Amino acid sequence: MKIQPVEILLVEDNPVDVMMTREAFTSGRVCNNLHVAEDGEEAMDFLYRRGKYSSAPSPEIILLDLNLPRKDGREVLAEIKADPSLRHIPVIILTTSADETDIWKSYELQANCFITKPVNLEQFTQALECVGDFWFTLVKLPAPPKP
Amino acid sequence: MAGVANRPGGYDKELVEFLQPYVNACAKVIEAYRSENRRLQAEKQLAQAHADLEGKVLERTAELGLANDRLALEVQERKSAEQAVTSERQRLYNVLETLPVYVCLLDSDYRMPFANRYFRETFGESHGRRCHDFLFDRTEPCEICETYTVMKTRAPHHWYWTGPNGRDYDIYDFPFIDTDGSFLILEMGMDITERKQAEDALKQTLADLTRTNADLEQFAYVASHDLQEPLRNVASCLQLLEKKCGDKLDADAIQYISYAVEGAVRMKALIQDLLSYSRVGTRGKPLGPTDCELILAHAVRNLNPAISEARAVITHDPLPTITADDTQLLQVFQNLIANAVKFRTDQPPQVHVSAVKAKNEWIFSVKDNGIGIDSRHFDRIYVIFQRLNKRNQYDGTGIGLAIVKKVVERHRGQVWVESQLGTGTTFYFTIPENGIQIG
Repeated sequence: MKIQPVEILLVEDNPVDVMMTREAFTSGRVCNNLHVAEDGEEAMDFLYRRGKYSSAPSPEIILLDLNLPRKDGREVLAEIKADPSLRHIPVIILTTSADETDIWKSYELQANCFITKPVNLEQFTQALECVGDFWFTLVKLPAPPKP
Repeated sequence: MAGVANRPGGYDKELVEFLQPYVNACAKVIEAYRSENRRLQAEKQLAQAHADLEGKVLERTAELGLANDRLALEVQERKSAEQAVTSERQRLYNVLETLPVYVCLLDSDYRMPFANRYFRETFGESHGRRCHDFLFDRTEPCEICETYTVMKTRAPHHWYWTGPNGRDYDIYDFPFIDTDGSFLILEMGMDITERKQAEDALKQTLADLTRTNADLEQFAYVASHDLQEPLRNVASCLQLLEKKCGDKLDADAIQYISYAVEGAVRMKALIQDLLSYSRVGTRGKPLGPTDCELILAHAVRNLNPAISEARAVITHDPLPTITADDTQLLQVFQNLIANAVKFRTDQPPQVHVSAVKAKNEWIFSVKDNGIGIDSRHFDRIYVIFQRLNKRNQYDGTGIGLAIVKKVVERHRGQVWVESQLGTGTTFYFTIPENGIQIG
């Protein structure tokens, strides 16, 4: 178990889903800081530390919804994976969509994985706990090489 | 002279003088006799010659008569032949003049040695003027004209032309050698204005339909997505409520929450089913070769949980390869078998799938030994979300048969049912052999 809290960026516009995600990660086994951006523009501002996010930490993992106002999750994904300073960050697509085209396009844009949000609260919590176990415990997350 | 010529002693002068007149007289008689002979001979000869001549004349007359007859016959034949030629020529000319298309000949100088009535009545008389002049008042040949490519290529050419009257023509040009050996262009033009308009209208309708379909697909996707989000919120919040405040709530409250969540879950299922239903049209593929045995196996695999739970036995006759949309056919088999398994009696369900070839189509059947359907309801069952049982008796939204019907009808087939309550049900559907889909 990590001692330092894992910095997570959640890009999600639905307040209920934000609430449920927060709930799931709070009751989870891993210590984490959950940062929330409500649309694609805010997400990019956070990642580039623009405006109100000037002192934002660099997230170690990004949970990204696809259907967002202003800037779409698909655009955000493309931009992150095109930027050498951001593309190492694992991006987990967390969306209501189960559409095959969405799944294919996301992996094509180099998303690390794709999860369709379960409707059931129980199952949603379990899924996020799975995410936590896998990405924060089992998997090694990248850290920039020391100069 | 007998007796005198051979007197012994010969003849002396006195005797001779004495006999001379006698001899002369004899000579004259002999002469006369000879002449008479000659005369008779001559007469005979004359008569003979006369007869020969007459014979010859008769012969010649007969020959001439025959020759005359022959000549008269020849003249008659010649006359009929000429008449026939004239008739035929008139007939061919009438054909050209009557044709409901235009036919004309064009020479290398853009003039028209021939134009049939249709041409003359449609475009007027050329009066020797060049075609681009008398048709369009142009001094130079029309740029878009393709007729004269025949001059270069010496090959037939086909193209479309709009005349000075604004009508559209289907033009066929041919190389033509005239009777004097000169090279002309034979042109035939058919008025296709109405047909072209119909074609354009059809193209427009097709474009409209494609666009409408695209709009519908987008609408369905967006609507389903946007409709589902508030539903999820309702369901999630209720579940959170139960989780966080459950211990503060009484049994009734818990029950209300339960029904509310159920309602939301049900609505989500309905929306998803509506989306699937609309996609039969918008996501339908062109029809292609489809192995029904593979499709059936796939459907059975998909239904494995339900099938094993019910201990159902699925059997089938050999199934053909047909022309269909394989994804949609899968939905049909899957929905029909799912129903057959779901609506069972306390006996393990037995489902049999078969296919029979009829004149231009395949007739499939899915037969079960389940609860059956009352014949009163045979039409209702295909209506979206129509159910014949109480809400909680059986699972599902009631979209299965609506999708079956829509898919089968997209393939230009038909679906119908035979059933007896308590005994079982057989669903039949047809797929035409040389399939072309609707939409």
